[in-house]
Amino acid sequence: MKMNRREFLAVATMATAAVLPAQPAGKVVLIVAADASWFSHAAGTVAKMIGEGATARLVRIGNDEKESWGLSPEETAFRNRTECEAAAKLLGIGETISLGYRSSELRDVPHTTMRDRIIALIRHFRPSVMFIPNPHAEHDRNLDRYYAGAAAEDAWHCARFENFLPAVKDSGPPPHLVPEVYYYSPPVDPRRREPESSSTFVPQPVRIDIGSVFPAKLRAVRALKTVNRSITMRLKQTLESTGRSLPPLHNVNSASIDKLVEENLRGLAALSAEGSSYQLAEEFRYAGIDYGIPAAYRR
Amino acid sequence: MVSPLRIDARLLLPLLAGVALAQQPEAGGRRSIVAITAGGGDYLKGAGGTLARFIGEGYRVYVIQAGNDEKTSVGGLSPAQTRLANNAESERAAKILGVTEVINLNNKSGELSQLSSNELRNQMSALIRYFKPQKLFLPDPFIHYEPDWDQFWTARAAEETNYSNSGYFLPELTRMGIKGHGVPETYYYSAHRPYRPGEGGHSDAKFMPIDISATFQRKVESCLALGTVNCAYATHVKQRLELMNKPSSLLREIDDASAAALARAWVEELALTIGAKHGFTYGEEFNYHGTAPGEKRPLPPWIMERAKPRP
Repeated sequence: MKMNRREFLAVATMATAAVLPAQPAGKVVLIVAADASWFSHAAGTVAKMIGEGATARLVRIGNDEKESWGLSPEETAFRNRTECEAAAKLLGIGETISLGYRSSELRDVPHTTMRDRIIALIRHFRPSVMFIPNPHAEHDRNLDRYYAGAAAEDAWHCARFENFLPAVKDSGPPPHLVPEVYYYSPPVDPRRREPESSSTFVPQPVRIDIGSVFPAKLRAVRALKTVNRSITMRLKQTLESTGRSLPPLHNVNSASIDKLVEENLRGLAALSAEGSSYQLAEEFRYAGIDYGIPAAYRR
Repeated sequence: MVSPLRIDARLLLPLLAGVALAQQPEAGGRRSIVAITAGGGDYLKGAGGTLARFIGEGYRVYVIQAGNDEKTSVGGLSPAQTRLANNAESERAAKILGVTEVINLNNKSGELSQLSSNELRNQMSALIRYFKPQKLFLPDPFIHYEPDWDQFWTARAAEETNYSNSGYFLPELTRMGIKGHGVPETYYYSAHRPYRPGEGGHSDAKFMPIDISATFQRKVESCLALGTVNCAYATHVKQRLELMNKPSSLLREIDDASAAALARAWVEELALTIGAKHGFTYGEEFNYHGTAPGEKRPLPPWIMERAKPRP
């Protein structure tokens, strides 16, 4: 079929109108997570958006089968899935989709396989905001976040083009463009607050005040009981193996684990707030209205 | 008895080698550059002005395109239609810039991660050994926030050609007379963004800004030839602005003119942003590694202490 430029542009203009979804009342949020750690780095901001009327869904790439103390991988995966779903519900997240890949083995999952599954979900849920692990954060030792982040970033880029996922071109949902993306990561990169260039070309570092929603974040993270016990026991073991101890951990129980979770989260939020006017914050790289659009077109 | 149509492979190899040698650019001929690119327009955006400068100085530029550009379109063009439209426009754009030849490896764009990086590297290496360039331009695999991951997969394979062009790799090419070639100069470019502060390496690796004010218009003209890509970009920018309730009067209608104006604005803002960092009007920047023609660098002492004069 031959198409001249005029016909092509006419179709393109119609296509633009066709793929624009009706504007929902609030934001539609899609969180892509390599593992349960996303709650520590982005749950406050998501809770804040939900409080402002957003609807949110969570996509778990990894199955968290290794994050436990003394449980089998199968039992760990099951408990963590159940607890992640409960934690998400506490935040107000409407639905959790678990892709079920083995955690810490994401290197073996083809990039395009992971990406195309995320594209399908982007097209289905049509989010206006995405939260993705930052694959460009340096000094993050967890490579699952890198592989999941790379696939999620690529999915964000590709979901807008019609020629991806040709198998469902006619039967599946149409392409979708997500206008806002938050890249999250643990605050370990010493250059995480440096803008790499202007906002037209790269996502900018931003910090979000989570003071008002910190209790909600804390409640959600406390619901991750298997993960929290694992972190606590590993800390206790590390301390003991180096001849140290922490009084609250002499007897590990629900109360001591909850206390440790709160200390960790407060410390993390205070670190992210450092140098800002906030007490408790989360920090991101943010690609919004400026990103990829020349300044003259944003006025 | 051997049939007259059957040829012993051992007889064929020297013949192929002879053909290959006859087709190789003459040693000591005009200087040449190989530019590697993921899609047809990426090298133009990241390095078009600099390549135009070198073309003006008499270099021949050969472009190795990794992907077939079958995905970048809007308006219902199929992958095949998209590929044909983008490839034709990329050829036109290259011609405007003064590129001698575009070699399209025709791998599926958007799926480059499925391709063995060794295989992609070898495809590139064969051509680098054939063209024997003085300079190699390749996408930088280390830049951040490049959401098009084809840039990364292409870049990673391209960078590996730096050490895989020796005769110890691809011995079949060596056997055919296409010997190894060490490229003296490598320019890493970033296709869609300026570099972050603090780039540049150690010793021979340095950060190199280049003033492209004199060739900027040619770069723009070549980028504007990418009509299908520019139309997709304009369509997506319009969508994003509308989704965020900030429509632009400049994109009320998407047609050739509005898509071209947007593409020009983006290319210009990129060149201005880089230029402002380095005191130019319009700039491009590279991580550079190598030794320029005529430049002499003393060998380091740990090599000199074992060096002996030729008998």
